[in-house]
Amino acid sequence: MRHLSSDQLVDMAEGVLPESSAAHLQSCDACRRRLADLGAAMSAVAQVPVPDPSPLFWDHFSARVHEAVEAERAGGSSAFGRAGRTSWWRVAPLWVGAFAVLVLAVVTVTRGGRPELPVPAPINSAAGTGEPSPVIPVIPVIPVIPVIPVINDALGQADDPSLSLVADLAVDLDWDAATEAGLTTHVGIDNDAVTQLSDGERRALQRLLKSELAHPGA
Amino acid sequence: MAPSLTWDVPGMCQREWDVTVVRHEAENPADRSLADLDEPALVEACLGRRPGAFDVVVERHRRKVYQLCYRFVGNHEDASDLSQDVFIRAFRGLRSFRGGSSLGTWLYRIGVNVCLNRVNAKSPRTESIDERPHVDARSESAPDRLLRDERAVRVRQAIAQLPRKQRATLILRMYHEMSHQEIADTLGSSVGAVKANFFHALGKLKKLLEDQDL
Repeated sequence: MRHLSSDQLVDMAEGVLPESSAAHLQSCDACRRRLADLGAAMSAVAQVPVPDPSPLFWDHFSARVHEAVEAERAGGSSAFGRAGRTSWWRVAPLWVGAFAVLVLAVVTVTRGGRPELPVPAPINSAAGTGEPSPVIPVIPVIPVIPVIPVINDALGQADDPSLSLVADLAVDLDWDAATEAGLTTHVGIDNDAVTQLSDGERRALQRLLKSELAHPGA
Repeated sequence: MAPSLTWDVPGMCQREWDVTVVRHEAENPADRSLADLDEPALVEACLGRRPGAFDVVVERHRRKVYQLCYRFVGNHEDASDLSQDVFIRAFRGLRSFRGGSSLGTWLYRIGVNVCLNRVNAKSPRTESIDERPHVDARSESAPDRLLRDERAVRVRQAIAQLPRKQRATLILRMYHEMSHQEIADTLGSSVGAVKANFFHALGKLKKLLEDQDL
């Protein structure tokens, strides 16, 4: 004898499936008992109310949620987006940093141009051995300019208290913040710089490149 | 009535032009009282950061959310904390609410998840009759009320002993009238599994209540 499944018993207990539709129920005491147990349990559960809290509770509850939501807003962690909500004091360090970079650039340029670059050693070490020198393609050496000493030098020698103040304020400016503020470089910035040159500037750049390439050892 | 302006245009053959200014007065939700807003407009107001808009959401749904939480944890203190948590999560995720279901159903779903997580982390403490919040039972005699309260506490304690998924299924089906399919969607299971859980929950509950009577 095949008893009713739990699905069928649940459907019958909920009234979805009429008991008359299962002929088996008429002849099976076990299934009838299981169905009666389900009904009794459902009845016991259904009679349990949720106690209503004090009427004062709701106002208190709403106030608590309101406070929590305001705290979320103030903390900026909600999904309502950060755009348009940045306070001036949050971006102030970025502006200070930008100003510092500008001042340092001006000081560095006005103090006599670029630093002395190290002369690269001759690549062809076969010279003087009497053998014909193999032709080695010369790869232009890109000098690494020590930025920090230049900045320190500029600050130290300028001895300008306003520069020290700017440097102090920019100490906390990290790379991410600078990137977010658009102060850092990006891929293709050199191409952009060349394409934005005027005709006169482009001709001057051409002359400089030609004279550098014509230089022995270039 | 639309205002009409008339003026002379120098150097033109036609000396006068009639210009009719039509002011479009399409209803702007921002001009309406928050309490009058329907659900989509209210959600829009919340996303537009209109002051007080989310307070209205809380006011409309706080009772249902509290009742759901109370069913899970069986005491006022935890139900209150969980309800607050539900609304804060809803606030954080409101931008992801697509309106595919009603706001109430969406809040329910958040509520079930919050409660199941809590139930997982902490075994529920059902409160005794003395701790229970205010119950308006003026129509009952004192002995009847006492009996009813005692029975309710016993059933709540029995429900609290059910395994997590059986308890969730029982609560959502019996107290919140969710269909088996809705429960399956909420709990991430199948209709068959929901019916089986419901069946076993009721069977176990019956046994627990009988044991208490002994």
